Amino acid sequence: MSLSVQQAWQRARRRRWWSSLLVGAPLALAATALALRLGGFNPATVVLLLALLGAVGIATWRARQLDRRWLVRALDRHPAVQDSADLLFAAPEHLNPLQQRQRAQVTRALQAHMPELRERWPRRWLLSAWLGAAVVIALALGWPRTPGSAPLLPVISAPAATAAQPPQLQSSRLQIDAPAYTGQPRRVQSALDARLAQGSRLQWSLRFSAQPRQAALQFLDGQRVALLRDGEAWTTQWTALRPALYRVVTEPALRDSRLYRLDVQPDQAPSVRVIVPDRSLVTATPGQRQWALQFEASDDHGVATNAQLKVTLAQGSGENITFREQSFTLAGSGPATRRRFARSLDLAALGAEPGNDVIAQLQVRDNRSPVAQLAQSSSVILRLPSAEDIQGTDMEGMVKKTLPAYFRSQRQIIIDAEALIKLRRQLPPDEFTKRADAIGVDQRILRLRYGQFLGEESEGAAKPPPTSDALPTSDTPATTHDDDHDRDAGQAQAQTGHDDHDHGAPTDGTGPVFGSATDVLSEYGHTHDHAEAATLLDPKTRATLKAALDQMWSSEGELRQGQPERALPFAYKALGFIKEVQQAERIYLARVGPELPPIDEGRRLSGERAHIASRNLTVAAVEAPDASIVAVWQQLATTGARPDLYALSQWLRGNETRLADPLSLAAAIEELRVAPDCMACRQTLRAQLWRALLRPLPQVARRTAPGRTEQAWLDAVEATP
Amino acid sequence: MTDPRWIAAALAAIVLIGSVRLLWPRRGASPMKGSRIAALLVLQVASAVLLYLTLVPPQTTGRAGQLTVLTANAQGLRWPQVPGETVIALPEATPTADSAPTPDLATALRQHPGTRALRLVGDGLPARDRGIALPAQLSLVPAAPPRGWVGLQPPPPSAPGAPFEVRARAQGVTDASAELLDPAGLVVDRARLAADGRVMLRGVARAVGRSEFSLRLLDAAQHTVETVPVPLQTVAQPAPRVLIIAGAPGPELKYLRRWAVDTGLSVQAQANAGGGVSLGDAPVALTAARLAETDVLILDERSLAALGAGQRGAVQQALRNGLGVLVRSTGPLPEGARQTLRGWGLALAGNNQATAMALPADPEPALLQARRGPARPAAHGTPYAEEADGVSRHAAMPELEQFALRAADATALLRDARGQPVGGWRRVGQGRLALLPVTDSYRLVLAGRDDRHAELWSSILATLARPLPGTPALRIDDRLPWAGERLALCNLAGPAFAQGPDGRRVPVLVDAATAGERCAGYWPQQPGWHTVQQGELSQVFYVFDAGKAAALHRQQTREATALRIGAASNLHNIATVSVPGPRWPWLLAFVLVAGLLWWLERRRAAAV
Repeated sequence: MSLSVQQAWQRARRRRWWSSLLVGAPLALAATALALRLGGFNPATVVLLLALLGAVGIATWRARQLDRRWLVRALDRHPAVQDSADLLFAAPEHLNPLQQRQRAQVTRALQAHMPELRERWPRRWLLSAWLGAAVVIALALGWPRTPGSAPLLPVISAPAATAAQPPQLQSSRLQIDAPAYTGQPRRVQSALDARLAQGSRLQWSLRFSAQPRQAALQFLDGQRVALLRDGEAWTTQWTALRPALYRVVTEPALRDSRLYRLDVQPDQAPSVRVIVPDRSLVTATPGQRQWALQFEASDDHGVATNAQLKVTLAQGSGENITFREQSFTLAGSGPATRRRFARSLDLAALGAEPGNDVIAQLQVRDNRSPVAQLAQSSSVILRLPSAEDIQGTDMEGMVKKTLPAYFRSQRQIIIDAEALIKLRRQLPPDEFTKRADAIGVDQRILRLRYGQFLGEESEGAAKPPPTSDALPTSDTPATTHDDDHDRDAGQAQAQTGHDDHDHGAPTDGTGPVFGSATDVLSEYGHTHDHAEAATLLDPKTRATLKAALDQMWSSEGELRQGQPERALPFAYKALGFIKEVQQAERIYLARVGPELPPIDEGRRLSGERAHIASRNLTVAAVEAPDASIVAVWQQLATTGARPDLYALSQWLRGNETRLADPLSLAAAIEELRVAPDCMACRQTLRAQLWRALLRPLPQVARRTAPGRTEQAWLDAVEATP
Repeated sequence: MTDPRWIAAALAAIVLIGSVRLLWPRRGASPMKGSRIAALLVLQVASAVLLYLTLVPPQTTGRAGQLTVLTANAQGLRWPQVPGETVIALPEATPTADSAPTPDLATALRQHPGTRALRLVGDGLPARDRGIALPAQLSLVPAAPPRGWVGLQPPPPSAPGAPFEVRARAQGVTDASAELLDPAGLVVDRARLAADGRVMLRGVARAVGRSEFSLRLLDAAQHTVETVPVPLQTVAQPAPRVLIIAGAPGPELKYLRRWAVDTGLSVQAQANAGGGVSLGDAPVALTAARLAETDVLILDERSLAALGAGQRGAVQQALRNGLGVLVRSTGPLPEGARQTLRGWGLALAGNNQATAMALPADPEPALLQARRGPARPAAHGTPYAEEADGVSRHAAMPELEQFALRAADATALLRDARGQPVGGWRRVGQGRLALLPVTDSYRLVLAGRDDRHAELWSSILATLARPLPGTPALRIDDRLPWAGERLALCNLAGPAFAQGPDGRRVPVLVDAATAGERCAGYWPQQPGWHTVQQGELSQVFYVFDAGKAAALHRQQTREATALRIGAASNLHNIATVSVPGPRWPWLLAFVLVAGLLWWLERRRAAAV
């Protein structure tokens, strides 16, 4: 076989190989793309490798198919070969001369013009293969991924777990749906610890490196929530109503299991604040028609839009009080967590009259479901004063304000007396004496009033004589000499108020008011202590007042005798003393200690003592602080000891409410239970336990005796004077 | 073994054997020339002498030199450096380019014989290097003083529930404050540092056991500068036996008895109700035998006045024998009671005028809460009762009433809010006699502050109670023990074991040289609580971690070094120590001579 034939053959083979490969390569690529899409990168590389190897193998096999018989047939197709291609491959020594001649001719012909043995490129195949592959690749890589849909082909799934290959938490997902009323959005987190609102719905989805047979969430309080297998993931749901600690348990056991913590924040009850009025007890101004109210309600998640305003009308006085309740619905304004409720009450529409009380209270709800939490504001009271109340509004500070009334009365006596002296010439003597006596009666009553301040007896129910005015002094505002006459009319009422104290003397002709306890007491009882003890005044003031009384006494005597001129100096002196009292800084209620009479020792133990004997009174000691946790705390300090953690958790369950942070203590116990040799866990638990340890009553530290030499020295020191 | 004489003897023997073998006529061998034999003999002797000198070089007085030693925190320090001066770095120091690292100072001194003067740079010598003989001249180039806690006086072992005090000193922080944290990390006391950096903080011990508080130093911006552990050991105390004799029942007696019973004291209380009627525990006769079994006798002025002459004598005798006697006042002190007290040894001054007295104020509520710990669970609690209890736990302390009585020449029993003494005690023989002129300490209980009432009475009884016979207590040298440093355990009674936090038991051997003290050395390797077990008796001490209390450790190193330098400066004219000379010339000569010897012998063989 000549060289040219050989080359042509090889060329034909190479062409076959390449065309096969070029058809196979796109198929391989397409398969790879599919694998990449369905199985990920690693499978795709494997597929690519195998497919390319296959393509190369097929191409080689197809190229090998072009063997010598094919060559002979291919050559024979050309006229120049003259069907004698076989001769080219036969051994020359077996040929007869003719054959040899023919062979030489064919060889020459072939050398002159070598026919083309190569196949044409399989254009259709190539085109369809590449186009098809391009379509497949485009589909494989560009097909939209639908989330959550199961993969077209099963992923290389996790192997089943064995004891030798324990599962490990590979990925976790915790979905937290807070209750709708909180308005919190859904949260998805990969951490298994969470801080969430009470009532949140939790949804776990866990994946393990190896598939366990069973899996569950084990809560520390004993509850167990099984995890359900869903394909590769293990899922479950739970509603968080209380704080909890849990761990993921599987069978076979997880490689490293730790404790997770769910902190549950309960919904806070709303709180209501009264903005208007600024005091809880408001007195209505005269002629008030409206009462404006404003409240502010706040809550951690939101206050309901509508709130109830409860209005109570209290009518009557004393023991005869009737109540009428009404309720209004108010709509709030402002953000949900801080709403304002305002309303202006029409007093006339409520039916409120003078002397009544209007009590308002706002009730708000938050938007917790299923049961909303209720909160109430403090009550605010509007007092509509009655006519008497209006006159007596300044009753507070009675003592302070009553006194000036009396002072003015003394001044009035002086004024009256001076006026009487001026009229002396014009009046007949009898009339003059009668008038002077009337002023003297006034002076007496005034003296008795002051006597009451000093705790003196009021001289047997000092009824004012019919000649006198209803009040101890006639407080006529029209008097020109009265420098205090412009004070309001309430002062007169102040005297009336004090008159209640006047041992049942009805001053204005009307009987005592029903239900007035002080009147009953003063009518039938006796409210004074003896003169030394019962006093409103400090000693100095009392002395001054006493001096004033003495002067009044003298003034009264002269007035009664119809000699107002001689009475005037005393009256002026009395006024001076009273002015002094008025200018005294304070009038206070002295604290009076019991001043008991001395004990008569001679009478001691002289009574009947037949059944009185010595007694043993035993005292039981209070229980010592919980011994079990003290023991655990002590054992945790020593390396070898194994504390009784079970007893400790039992104790914790019983004392949860007393501790500030029971969850941390529970977590520390659990950590140590899982890893008994962990020194850091022991220290953590010990620190947590310290918070739970009760402080024992301080014991008595004992001193130790000094040594022999010290004692000798001490004795020597004591011996030296 | 290393005695040079043994070496000399061995070498002489070898030379002798070699010479005899050389001179011994051998069969079949041509006799050597006399000159060669002589040369060989001489060389043998010479090589032996040279070997001896190599092993034991002759003493020379080394060149007087100065050694500069870099210790911890030496970086950045400047000293008058001489060219060619030897600088070595101890392991604590940061090695520099021109310093040679050395494992310890003793090695360095051995390597540099003839060192006359030592210059220390940095903090000073660590404990490892303090025990060695140092050159006469010592000087120090000190590092900057440490910043943080430099002094700490941990509390002594405390009684359960009792308050304790921690004293500490800090330096380098201006406007600093200190916080004491309990083992759970809550602040129990807070105070500003005095101008000299000292501070005293109070905490409260809880149950029997060992706990670690921590002391935090804060700077002016309230940032933590340093935190050091404060070990606290709480040990159960033997309950004193208390005898209370009251002239009349009253609230003070009632709450005193309640406190004593709850605290677990063995208490016998009786009150005279008049007419021969007594209330309380079974009546007790005040005899010498009964008083010998009593640790504290609590009288009031009425029961004191009612004592007969025999009883007074018995009490006085018991007082001299160690009994503690407290006279509390419920009313004015009659003259008879005064005379009795004077007879016993407590002279009183002042009158019977009652004045108000305020106890030292509480810390702020959060600290108080942390000190008092959780509330005791109520046996039959209702929410209201618990709320009231919670409120009263923070109640302000009521004012108490005291008489203006002062015990002359006596120690204060209590101190009020202004630091004035209240009551007083005096030592009488082995016992103590005290007067407490406070009439209404029970008000503390009524106000919800039973903790203060208990603290008050337990401090009084701790002062007065009969002393316990002294037990041979383990004594540790006064500095704080540090992990990795030797400490001396003294007063060891017999064979003892030490046990560290890791639970490893190490026998400690009493050094016979410390005959009276009976001390043993111990190297605690781990920080934490260590136990020394002697038979049944075990005692605990805390070993500090130099890493956790760095400033404290540095300060102790500095102080110990300063002491060492102060002691060394007195020894200026000590004789120079002769040091071994260099060995290498002798070794070289020995090798040469031995080589020559070998060559001579071979030559002979070749010639033959």
